[in-house]
Amino acid sequence: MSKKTNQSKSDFVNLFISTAENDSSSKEAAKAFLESEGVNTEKLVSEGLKKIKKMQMLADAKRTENEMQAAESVKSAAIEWVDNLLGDMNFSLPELVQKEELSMSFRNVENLSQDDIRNILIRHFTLKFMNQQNNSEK
Amino acid sequence: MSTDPGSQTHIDWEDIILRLIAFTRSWVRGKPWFRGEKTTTFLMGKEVEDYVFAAIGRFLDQPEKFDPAKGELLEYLEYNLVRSFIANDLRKKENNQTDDIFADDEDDDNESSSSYSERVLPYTEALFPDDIDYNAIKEYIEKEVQGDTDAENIFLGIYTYGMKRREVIEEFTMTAVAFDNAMRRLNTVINRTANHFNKNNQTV
Repeated sequence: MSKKTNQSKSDFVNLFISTAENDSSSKEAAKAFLESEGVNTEKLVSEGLKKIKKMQMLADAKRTENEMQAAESVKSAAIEWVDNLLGDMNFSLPELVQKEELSMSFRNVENLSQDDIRNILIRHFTLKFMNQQNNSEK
Repeated sequence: MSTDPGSQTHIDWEDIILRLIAFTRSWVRGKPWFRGEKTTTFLMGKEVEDYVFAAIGRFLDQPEKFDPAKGELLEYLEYNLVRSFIANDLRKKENNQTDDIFADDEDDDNESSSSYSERVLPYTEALFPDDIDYNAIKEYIEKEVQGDTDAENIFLGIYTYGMKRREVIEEFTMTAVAFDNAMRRLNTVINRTANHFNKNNQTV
């Protein structure tokens, strides 16, 4: 096909698209076009808004579920990280507190059990990993 | 951006519903013009509205895919609808006209830098066969609108210069009402032309 014919085809298709654009150029134009086609626009809009609201709620629920799943997987990674850390023979809590700036969380360290320390560290690394993940997604 | 249907200050869903359905119905109605077929099999047994709300649903699921720098939300949705129809068309056995150049462009959304409205053209072009004498069509329409100044100007503006509605109104200093009336007359001519040139000479 010659370039000239190609252009003629594009010009014609443009005209075809313009018709659809014109029929939907404004809310009023769209309403007039749809009513000329026998569509009950009031019903269309009221049912459409209900559908959108339902879809929005489903989308929000799906997003929340995905976020929760993501948080769970980050927490699992943090648990593994902390358990490896605590199991390391060279582990030093004071060094970690200094490195991770955790002095506030461990200000009463003498009153904390092993489980308390583990839980504080898991919470800290979960938050840290989540922040890292959020920053890398931006 | 809020996507809450109740949050009308951000997204006017009533406007989107009406305009998107009008656009799609109009686009779909013209589709079989030169296909030499009466079927609308590309709808796969569904209604136009089903596709419209599916497109809105996809946006609500992944609003981050919409890039406002590339056009308005309505244009984004129109572009996605046109893509869906073309994708359906490619899957239909009876289709022997649509070019398959878009078969593998799943990532078109992310990769293309052109605006959504610009991207509607190549997809729509795929519906129209190449073995039609488009120059003859042009001449036929020109002859048919002769004497109707507004329709002639609209045809000239859109066909020859690729103008949009607002540009035609400004360029030829016509009112919006005059444009709409003349566009209706031009559409009647285009429909007549389509029937004249259609392979099966059928009414659509």
